[in-house]
Amino acid sequence: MEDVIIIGGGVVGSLIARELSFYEISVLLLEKEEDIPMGSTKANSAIVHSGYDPLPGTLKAKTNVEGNRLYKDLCEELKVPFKRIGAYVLAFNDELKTLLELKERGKTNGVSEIQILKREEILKREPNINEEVKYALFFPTSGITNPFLLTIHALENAIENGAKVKLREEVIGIEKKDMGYKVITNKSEYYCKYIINCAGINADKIIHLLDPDYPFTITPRKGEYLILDKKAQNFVKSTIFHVPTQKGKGVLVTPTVDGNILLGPTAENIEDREDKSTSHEGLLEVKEKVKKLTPNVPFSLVINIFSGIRASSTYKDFFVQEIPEFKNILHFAGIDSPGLTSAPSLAKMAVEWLKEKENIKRKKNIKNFEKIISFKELTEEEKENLIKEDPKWGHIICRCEHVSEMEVRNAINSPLPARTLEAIKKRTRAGMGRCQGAFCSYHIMKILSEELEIPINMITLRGGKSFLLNGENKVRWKYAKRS
Amino acid sequence: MQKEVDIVIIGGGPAGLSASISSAERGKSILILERNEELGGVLNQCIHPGFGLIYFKEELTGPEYAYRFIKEIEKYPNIEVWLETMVVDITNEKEITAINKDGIWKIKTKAIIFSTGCRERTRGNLQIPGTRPAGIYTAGTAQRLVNIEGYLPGEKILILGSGDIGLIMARRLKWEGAEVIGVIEKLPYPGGLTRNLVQCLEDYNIPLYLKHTVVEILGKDRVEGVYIAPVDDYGNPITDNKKFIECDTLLLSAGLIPENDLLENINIPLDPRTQGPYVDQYLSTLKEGIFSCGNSLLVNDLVDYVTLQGILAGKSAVRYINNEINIEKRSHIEIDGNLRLVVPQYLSYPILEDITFYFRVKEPQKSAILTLKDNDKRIKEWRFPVVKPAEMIVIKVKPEFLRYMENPKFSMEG
Repeated sequence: MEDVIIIGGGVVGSLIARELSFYEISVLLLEKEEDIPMGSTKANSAIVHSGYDPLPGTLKAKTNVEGNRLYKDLCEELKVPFKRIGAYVLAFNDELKTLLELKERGKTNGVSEIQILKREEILKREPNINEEVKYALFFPTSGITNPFLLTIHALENAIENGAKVKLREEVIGIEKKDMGYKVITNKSEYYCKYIINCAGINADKIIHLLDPDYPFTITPRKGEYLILDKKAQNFVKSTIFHVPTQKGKGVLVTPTVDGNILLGPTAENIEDREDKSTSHEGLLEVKEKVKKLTPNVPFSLVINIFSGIRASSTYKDFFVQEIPEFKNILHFAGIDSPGLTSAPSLAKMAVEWLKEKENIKRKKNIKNFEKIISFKELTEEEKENLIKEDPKWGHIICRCEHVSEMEVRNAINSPLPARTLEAIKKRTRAGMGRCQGAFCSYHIMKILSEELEIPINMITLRGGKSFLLNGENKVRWKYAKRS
Repeated sequence: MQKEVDIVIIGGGPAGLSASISSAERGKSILILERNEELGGVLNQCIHPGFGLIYFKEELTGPEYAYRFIKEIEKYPNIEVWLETMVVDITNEKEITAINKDGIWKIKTKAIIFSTGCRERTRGNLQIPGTRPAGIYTAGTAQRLVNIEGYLPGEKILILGSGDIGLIMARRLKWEGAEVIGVIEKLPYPGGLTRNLVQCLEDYNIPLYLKHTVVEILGKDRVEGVYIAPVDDYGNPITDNKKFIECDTLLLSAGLIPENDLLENINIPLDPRTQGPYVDQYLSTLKEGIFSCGNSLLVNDLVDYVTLQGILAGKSAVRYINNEINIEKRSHIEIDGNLRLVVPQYLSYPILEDITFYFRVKEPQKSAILTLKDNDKRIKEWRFPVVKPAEMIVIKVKPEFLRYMENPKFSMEG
């Protein structure tokens, strides 16, 4: 019997798991995929928004501004990159009125230090912005982060503090029992007193397991992105938006914490919530729209394209509620933008909710997150010492991002072990550079096979049946039967 | 840790190997830095024959070709080889930072030869829409998996791009029992050498679809198929005519990109046409003491040319150290007409020896005339029955034709 079961290992679920692991309660997180994060947290703009956009009074507005304030300390604790690079919202033509409204909205929401800038000043600061710009709002508190590392490190810290995690377990049923609830997965059954639903794009499915007629539906909205080589690093220094529309904050141009430039997203309502495909039209739309913001985008430096799905819902705000007939289950549903920014604040809400229900005690010895060493970031002396300790630190296997063999091995031998090529990529950046894994993927496949002690033809890109080697008839003795 | 040598060679593939021998012969101390676990570069995975016809006048496989040089290197005590060593930084003062299992190295040197080769264009570079399943490989990665690691990437394979590696992999995968559905080429003419078209596709009845491209990748976990579509005369896909092709693997053989990121870090100018550095006939970049050869200088179609460039770069580096290169004047070579690129791009005067020029053309052309002019004055011309983008044009020009030109220009007309 667990005290709390969390469904879903996205940024919200993982941060909640970490917060709750600081208390004298048992916490179990269930994730249906092979790794975390795999849904909306994995593919978004990675922006820590200042909070000018949500309507005043909404939960989005409150948690956005609060989440933004919490980010700096959180990222320091979890050794995650976070940079307050600021964001511009550009106005062309007669959009000054909208801009002023936005400034007021920001002020009401509690966003500090908003500046209004004229063309000359904007172009002085960001010479690649479209010369036709008239005015801009600048939000200095806006930032960027690495959502993969934030989520992974948060959950690893939770594990270090006693939380349990089960991967590849999809919740398929929830039954009310005297003591609490029975949670049924594709593999097992668990009993618990409290459930926290952080199932992201599938959060409505969890609600409908309880009450099929409950009027809440996720309306998935896809966003397509392009990513530029680090050679484009200085193209812009801050995040660049156009004034927002009904459909969201629109297409943006932003640096990433790793020095790439990100372009996107589109906003397309889709039927199939698993549809993470990109399209010719979508990519073209991104290109057309970013040209309006910054006309000289070096599209020849595109190194990858991807899409992500926002867990938007019929309920305009974040849906953070208990459903009256099903007490002790807290739903975090419809967490679309600014979900990443709001996540730290939402995690605090989960703790408060539980505190109202039960007298939970904070642990005396909370373990801090042990630093995962990014070799590239170290001083030369530190590097020398590590290589002396273990020469595998000096074997660089990802030549684009300079990731060492030891970093890859450490990612596999961590509290939340990387078991797929993509899991290694998310933790170490191996394969994320300009060759996109062409040189290092076979090397990493071999290390995965060796460390996990599984045959190489069982290694997958991201779990399930995403096998990297599909040729059963070549040197059969090396392969294990998969079926 | 510190290290000092006369010449550092970055990359131990065919270009670096021949560069090391030609500079070691002339008595300098050489250090080869190679990031792989063995010398030979991409040749190690090119187990097919066809190498060495020009340089050795016999037909060798890739590993055999590399081995001849690796064996030769062993004779020179003044060549040191560091394997599994990654160069991470270079300063303008030619100080190299490298990492290997022994530690972090600061290497001081008088000359550097870049022989860093190429990387392959990826799905992201090509911006092919669709899902992101397993089973999308560059042809070179697939070649490494099959020929060195011994794994077959998939069983039903479609190849995008008719570059040489793609053609060779079509045959190779067929031999290993995979079904090779075809090769898709966006251009109206093939990207690889004629001999590979015949020996790798025609001999095995593997179809080549010209003026087609992949417009969408399908499959959730593993590639389940792709949509291909014809392209119009401007290269835009006509998606109304798209056709589904079932496959579990998509190989990309759609171009190579010279790897010159380190050169860019120290602001050595690159030629956008070759994506390698601008060089003169010594294969010296525009920063003195830094030389370039092989596929990082320009994408070659035969390893023999790579070897010859390595030999020249090695010899030039020694001359540079010995103060034997005294440049009085430098002219930029222009190109015109059907020419897409030329190497070298500069002539440094005085010119003392024959110069080998490498060209590629934009379009296939019959009875082509290559003309060398100076300020519109015709100096010399060469005639070719046929020229193709896939096949480099290589000519050797005697110094007497190149004497003190103000505005040298090569052009190719019909």
